Formats: sequence, C-alpha cells, structure tokens
Amino acid sequence: MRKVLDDFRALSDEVLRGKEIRVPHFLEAMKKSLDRRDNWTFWLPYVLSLDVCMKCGTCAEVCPVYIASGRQEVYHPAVRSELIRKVYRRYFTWAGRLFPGLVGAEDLTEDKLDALAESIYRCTVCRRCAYACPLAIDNGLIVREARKIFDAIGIAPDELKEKGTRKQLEMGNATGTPTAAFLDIIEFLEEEIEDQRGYKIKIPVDKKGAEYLLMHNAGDYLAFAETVMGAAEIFHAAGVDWTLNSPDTGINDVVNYGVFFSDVEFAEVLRAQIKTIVDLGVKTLVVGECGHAFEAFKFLMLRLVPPSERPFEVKSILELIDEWIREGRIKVDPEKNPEPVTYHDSCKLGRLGGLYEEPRRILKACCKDFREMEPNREMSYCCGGGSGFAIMTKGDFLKFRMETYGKIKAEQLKATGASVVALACSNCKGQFREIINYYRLPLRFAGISELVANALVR
Amino acid sequence: MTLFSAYLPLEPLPNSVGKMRARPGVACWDGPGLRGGSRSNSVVWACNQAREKGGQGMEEVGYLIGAVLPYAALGVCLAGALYRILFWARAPKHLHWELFPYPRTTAGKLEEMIVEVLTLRSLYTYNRKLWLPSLLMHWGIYFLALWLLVLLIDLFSGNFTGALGIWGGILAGVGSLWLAFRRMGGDLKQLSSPVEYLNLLLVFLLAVVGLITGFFANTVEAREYLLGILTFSPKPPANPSFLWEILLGELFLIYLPFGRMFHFAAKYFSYHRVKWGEAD
Repeated sequence: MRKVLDDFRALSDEVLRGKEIRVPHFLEAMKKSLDRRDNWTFWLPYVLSLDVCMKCGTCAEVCPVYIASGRQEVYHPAVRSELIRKVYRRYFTWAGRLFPGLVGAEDLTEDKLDALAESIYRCTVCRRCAYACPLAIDNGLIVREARKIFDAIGIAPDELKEKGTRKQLEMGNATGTPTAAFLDIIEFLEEEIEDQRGYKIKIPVDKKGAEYLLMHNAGDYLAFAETVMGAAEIFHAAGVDWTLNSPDTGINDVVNYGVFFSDVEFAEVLRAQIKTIVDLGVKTLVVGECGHAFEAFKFLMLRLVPPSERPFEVKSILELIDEWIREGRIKVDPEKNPEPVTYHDSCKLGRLGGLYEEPRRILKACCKDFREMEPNREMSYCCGGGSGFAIMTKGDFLKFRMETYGKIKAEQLKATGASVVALACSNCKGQFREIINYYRLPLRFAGISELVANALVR
Repeated sequence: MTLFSAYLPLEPLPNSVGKMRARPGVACWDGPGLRGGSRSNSVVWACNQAREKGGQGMEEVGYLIGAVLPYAALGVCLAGALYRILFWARAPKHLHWELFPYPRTTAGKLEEMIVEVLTLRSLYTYNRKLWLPSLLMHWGIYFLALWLLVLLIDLFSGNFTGALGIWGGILAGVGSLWLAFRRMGGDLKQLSSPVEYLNLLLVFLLAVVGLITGFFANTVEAREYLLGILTFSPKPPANPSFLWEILLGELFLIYLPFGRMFHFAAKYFSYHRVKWGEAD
C-alpha cells in the first residue's frame, strides 16, 4: 500500500476512496461540524480546542504514542491537531483567509487529506493530554471530531462501521452471533462452570422484568469467556434476579463503536439498545467489563436521551460487585488468588469514567497481593486498544500498537513483578493479549469478574 | 522611583518633556516591532513631519494616540471580549465529557483555579522546561495588572507602585524573551507559526518599552494620564515618550480578545464547562 503518513495504514485505499475528489466534501462536512446547532453534541469543547491552543507542547510530554515512538513529529498530539486546525483557519477564520502564513493556515489537498485520515487513527482518544493540558485543550476530541467529519463523507474503518455499528444494528451484536449460536454458547459456559467448579448454575436469558440486565461486550462470549462465566457466578452467588439477553430481544451487545467515530452511528446504536432494555422491562442495566460502553451509558447518553425515555438505572459491573462485597452479599477469600495481581486503569473507566476506587477495593478484597502499576489512575497510560484499535489489525497496524502504546505498557507490567494483570475493559483485554505475546511477558491477564469468581466463598 | 531607578537606562527626568521635544529622535524611536504596521508607519511619518515642522505634527499624532485611540482600543477590546465570551457562553449544552477526578465543590474549584493561575502547576508537573519562563512572564503580567489597579486607586506610595510596575516589566520582558528562545528549539519549533512569536514579541515590547520610557516607574505622570482617560477628559501624556507604550497598549487591547492571549477567558469554559463538567 502507498505511504501516506508513516509505515502503517489503518485505512485501505478502498476505504480512503483514494481515487475520488474528497476535499470539497470534507470542507462542507467540516463547515457543519463548526455549526453550533448541527454539532451541538460537542461544539463547545471542539471550538475551544480549535481556537485557544497555546502550543506549549505539554500534551506531547504525556502522550504515550509520541513518547514511545521516540518523539516522532507525526505522532505529536498538537502537530496532529494542527493538521485540522490549519484547514479550520484557512477556510473558516478571517485571519487564516487573509494571512495564512502568519497564523499557520494551509489549503487542504487530497494528499493532506489522506495523511489527516491516517493520522487520526494513530490516537486512541485516551485524553491523557487533555488531563495534563494547562488549558484543558482536548486533542482527543479534535481527533474524534475529525473522525466524525470523515465518517460524514463516507470514510471510516470498516472494522468500526461496516463490521461494527452496521453489523450490530443488523444482527444484534457486532460479532454477528445469531440467537441459536448464542444459546449454544450459554449452554457451553454453564457446562464449563460445572466442570471447573463442580456445581451447576443456570444462566438466565431474556427474562422479562428482571432486576438486572447484564449486557456484555458480545466479543467477550467468544474471546474472553472467563469474564462472562465469572460474572454469571457472581450474580448467582449474590442471589439476585438477573438476566442476559439474546439477539432475539434486539441488541445483545453493549458496545457502541459510534463512541469512537460518529455521533450519528452512536445515537442509532444507543436508540436500539435502549429499545431493547425498555422492551425487556428491567430495572437496571449492568454494563459488563467494557470501557467505552460505560462512558456511553453513564455519561454520553444523559443529555442525548431525555430521562423519560430511559426508565432504567445504569451501573457498571464494577460498581455492583464493589457494593455486594461491601454489603456482604457475596463473600470472597483473598487466599484463593495468592499470586501478585496488578490493575490497569482503562482510560474510559478511569479518566473518563471516574471508576478508580471500585476496582481497587474489589481486587484488594479478592487478591492476596495487589500491586499498583506506576503511573496509575488519571495518569494511567492507555494500553493502545482504545477507540477501536483493539479490533484493528490490518497491514502492520498490530505492530504500530505494539511498538508504541504496547511498549510502554510492557515496561510498566514488568516493573510491577505481578503475574496477573486485572482488566475491566474488552479493548484492554484484546490489547494486553497481544502485548503479552509480543513481548513474551511472564504473566496473564484476567477480567475482574474472573478473579472475583475465583475468590468466591460459597 | 529611587529604589529601582538604577534599572532604567532612559528614565525620564522631571523636565524630560522639554528634552523630548528638543530631541524628537528619541521620542520617535522606531524600534523592532513598530515597523510595518500602518499605524506605526503613520507615526514614523508624523515624526518626520514633526522634525520638519518643529513639533506641530507631533502634537496631532500625540493627541490621536494619547487621547483618541485609547477609547477606540478600549471599545474594540470590550466589544471583542464580550463577543467572544458570549460566543462560548451561548454554546448549547454538549454531551458529558469530563475528566476524572475533578473538584466537586466551589471551594475545591476555586482552590484548583487559583493554584493553577498562580503557580502554573500543569506546566510544573508535566512540562518543566517551560515552567519557569512561563511563570516569570505570567507573574510579570499579573504584576502589571496589579500595578494598573493600585496606580488608579492610589492605594500605596508611588515608590511601591513604581516598584511593582518595574518588576512587572522586568519579569514579563525576561519571561517572554526566554519563552521565545525556548520555542525556537526542540519540539516546539515544529509547532510554532509566526503568530506565536508575534504574541511573545508584543508582550516583550509592552514590558521593555514601558521600562525604557519610564511609564511603569513614573507613577505620577502615568496616573495623571490614565485618570484623564478614565474620567473622559483625555490629555496626551505630559511625557511624550509614553506615547510608544500607550500605542503598544492600544495594539494589545485591540488584539487581545481576538488572539490566543484571550486564553484566560477560554480557560473558564474549558475547565468549568468541559473538564470539570456541569451539573445537569
């Protein structure tokens, strides 16, 4: 594939529509993105981030990609933002129209458009830079807005759109698992639990009016079944009225890739999910171990959907487990997890979601030797799986993930000396699986639910 | 005055008015940054005219810069600031986009804001190499803002107020120059367009010209002039070399709301409305 930015390509020539004239369409979509009504969802943080960056470079000092890549200019977060700001100034500000050279404004060309499209898929929108920025300027947000503009002109990674949101809306989940196969998986998991633990539990599916609807990232059923099994054991042990749901009921996948690249896709998936939840008549939606889904239901949904149209509570499975352990509803014994365990703060759950203490309280209750990874919490480094990267592997993209974000994470993991890294986000799990393989690290990853289930006292 | 006058190479003497008139070349100093703009060209032109006509044109220019433009500049500044603040304030409520943790109480928010404004903690923590130069420049600007306030309300002795102004000028001048050099090397170079340097140059000139002309130090004359403006009885400054500082101040006021130096206002929105969220 031809080179457009660096040695990697997240978007194929076909996805990039390289043979078409795209610049006028891009500018038209960008004009809409700058309209306070058309783009009300993120207008304020967007225009603030476009207009008032002082170019101090603090973002770069905390950016995992930039640092790990050996400070390559193309990965500098503000240089990336400048790609879009230059276009903004040239076409949408009077200063840029009159004095382009002076204020740093440039015409957009088809080649620059290619580079921009690739560049915005080198950032996971982890927003570590926005946290550190003295002005709270958000390069991650600019990246996401640029992704929105590209999506509006038909350029989006097929992993996120065609095989993501579109597939989810059509099949009920982004993995394309039909109901019959889903039920087979559930049956298989029940047998697995019986084999491993020696007791039988029934995993309820599609139970109307249940107190809790637990919705996992559907990928977990295929890739991280231990998390699904662990959660089932925990809910069973808690003795609560709960259920999973099958594609028969609508959407049975808590992911919403629209969070990564498109408000339009985001809203459409969210609507379908809400309809499913309301139809099932459950009291509480429990978001499984998935970072961006928590962000979507806990925060992004609030001002998009009026409260009357979402008559259910939303909880992360972490919040619930933490509550249950503290209430004594479930009993755990840390001796059952004797190995040293560390925890990786998912960006979406931590910096964007505020869940710092819940996972730590859970792990300290369930594991004998809990160790912090440094730095952690709000300064946690993104693992590199965020914003859809965990499912993007085309070309050498996996290598990009490993040689940048992955490199830092591997070093951090080694420094803890832990033999288990606890994770609470599917994207993180996908990325850590690869990091552990790529760097041949002597440890394994585990879902929080898996560790809790292992520590359950019955 | 006495305490810090050693730092002022061109401190005007009490009878400097007459001296300046006698030596128009000093008053018409067209130092770096004052060339090029149409207004400063007109000043240079007017100065040349003044030399020829023996001060007649100079008075007109002095009146324009010293008594007319201040109102135009203040008007543009206030209108521009109002426009930009309303532009952000009228924004529709965006989707939640907070970053955790953030202060939840008013006291907590005030504390974080004040610490950030006074110590530039973010730079100290994450970008140490810019911290000291930036801190010097910002403290210089804070000093100068305080100087202006103290000067107008005439709260302290002229010595104290003058010292405040001089230190403000020194800190802002050193800080802005240091920042410009920092910007010319390393990662920041690739990020900087000419406007970044121009912003620093403007701060630098404001500071240095204020020091050289004695505008910051000569509190009696500065106060008299500024009060004249504020009470709508404008008079050109008694000391004509002040006109350079006044002209720079006017440029600064006109430019302030439209450039990135307005970040102090933007910061309110990016913190209070975005990073720290907002109650529903």
